[in-house]
Amino acid sequence: MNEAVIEARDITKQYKNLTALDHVDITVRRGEIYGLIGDNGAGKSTFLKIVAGQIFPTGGYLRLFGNEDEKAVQKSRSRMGALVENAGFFPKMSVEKNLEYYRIQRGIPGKETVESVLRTVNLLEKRRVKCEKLSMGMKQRFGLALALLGEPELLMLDEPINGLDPSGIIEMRELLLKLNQEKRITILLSSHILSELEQIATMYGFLSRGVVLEEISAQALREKCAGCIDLRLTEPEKYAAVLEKELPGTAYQVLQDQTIRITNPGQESARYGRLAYEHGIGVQGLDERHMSLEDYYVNIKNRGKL
Amino acid sequence: MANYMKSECYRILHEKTIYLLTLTMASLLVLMNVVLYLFSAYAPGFYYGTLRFSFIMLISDMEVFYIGAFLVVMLLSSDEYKNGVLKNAVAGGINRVHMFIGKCIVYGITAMVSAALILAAFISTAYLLLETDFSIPLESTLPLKVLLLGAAANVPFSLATVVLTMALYNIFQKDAQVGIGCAVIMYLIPTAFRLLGFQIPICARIAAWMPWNFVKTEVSAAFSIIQMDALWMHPEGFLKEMIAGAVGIVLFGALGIWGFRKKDIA
Repeated sequence: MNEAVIEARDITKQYKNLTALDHVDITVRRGEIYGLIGDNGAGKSTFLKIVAGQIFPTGGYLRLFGNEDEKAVQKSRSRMGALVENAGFFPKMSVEKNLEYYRIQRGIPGKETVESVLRTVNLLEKRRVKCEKLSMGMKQRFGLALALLGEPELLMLDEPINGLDPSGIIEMRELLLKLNQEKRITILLSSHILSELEQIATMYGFLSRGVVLEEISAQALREKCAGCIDLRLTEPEKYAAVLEKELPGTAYQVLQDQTIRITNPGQESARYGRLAYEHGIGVQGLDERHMSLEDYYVNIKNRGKL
Repeated sequence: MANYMKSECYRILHEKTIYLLTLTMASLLVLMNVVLYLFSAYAPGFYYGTLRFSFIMLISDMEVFYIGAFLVVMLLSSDEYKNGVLKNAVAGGINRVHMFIGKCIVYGITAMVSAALILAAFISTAYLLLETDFSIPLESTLPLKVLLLGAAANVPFSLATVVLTMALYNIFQKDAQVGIGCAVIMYLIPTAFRLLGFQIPICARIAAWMPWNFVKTEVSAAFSIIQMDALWMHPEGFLKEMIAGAVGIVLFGALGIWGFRKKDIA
């Protein structure tokens, strides 16, 4: 198992009468694309701000790149690039000068670094434009460029596709995948656009009202969400016997209403229909059911409310 | 910290803010000399178009250096809080204490360079436009000496004002609150102590060490159109200004570090 880049244990953040994070445990391992999922106000940004050092937890501890001591944690933040909520910049300075400012600040050698990150995020032609003149999507790209300065080992992005147009979303997705696969950058990103996360995340953390409901790998989630097939048959008992004989290892449930549910389909749905037909069993209906990430999230969120 | 200071220098040099502030303040002081010159040239019986009078105007209002230092910090750092720039520095791994100290040093130097340029513009236009009787011993040099020594003596507390303004930004983050905080600490508290001092002797002794009080009372009280004397013209007075400034830097510095170390940045 890869080493933990972020290890948050028992993190709590209390604002007067509001508990933004309630004993949160989150682990992000090297090489992962970790999708932090939650509604607005779930505590995603609060968690990212704590990792970025902008705010302090009321309780618990944070280990970053294996460091737990406060000074060492702060120092190790130089190995990280972050875009939390909005990209901060000096509005009257150009995109290029803003990035140059941060390059100098972080002691990153080589003036060409700025040009290189601007090219990576497709903002090179706007380099002389004042930051205040950028559109929302371009500000997001600027924020990503800032986060990428100095080739960080960990990239932390809060709602990175906010304000991007459809082609911008595709570019962002491809860029994040490329950074993760080619440069082995660990990525922690939060979003409430689950369909986007579903396409790139390798690990998920579900956060609701300041509580982590579940941490699950994409592989495990796929297995949990794998489709099931409902077959409404004239003779379900006979079909169950056929299944056990012809396709041993198939998990199924006999439901009411003469329905058999295959919960781990290893074959195409048509194969199960054909099997019934071959054995003279009438098929009155065949439904394929899949659980999307969205359905899964709604399910566990509702479970969390109970 | 060196990198942080370098980046701040880069920003200050590439933004227009400090140039505009310096130009505006220099213009105001030059304008004062121009007005004095025009009146003396075109209004018979106007006796104030002299180098001495022009310099006295500034010498008797030395607290203008503190206000200038406050303005420099306010204009340079308010954008950082409004636009979320500071959070990037923190997320980039820069130590907060180093940030605070680095900022104070860079803004302090900026304020001094700006003040030097403003003074140069003021002094040169005064010598160019206004009358002085070079036949009277010291008439053309004494006011300049008092002014320059006054400026030097007020450097420590001007730097303390830079540190105080930065400290208050770290605590409050909003321009209005910082402005009010500075006014209270720099002006209202010293004034209150001075007034209380009329009844309570200990308050008078404390008030005497507060810069806003001594640059007002111990300078203007000692002035006359013939005689020219000021607190900082005497070694003990100069030392008093130095000590008050140093104490201010230490106290406000401690306040700033305390306020920033555990402050949540929105």
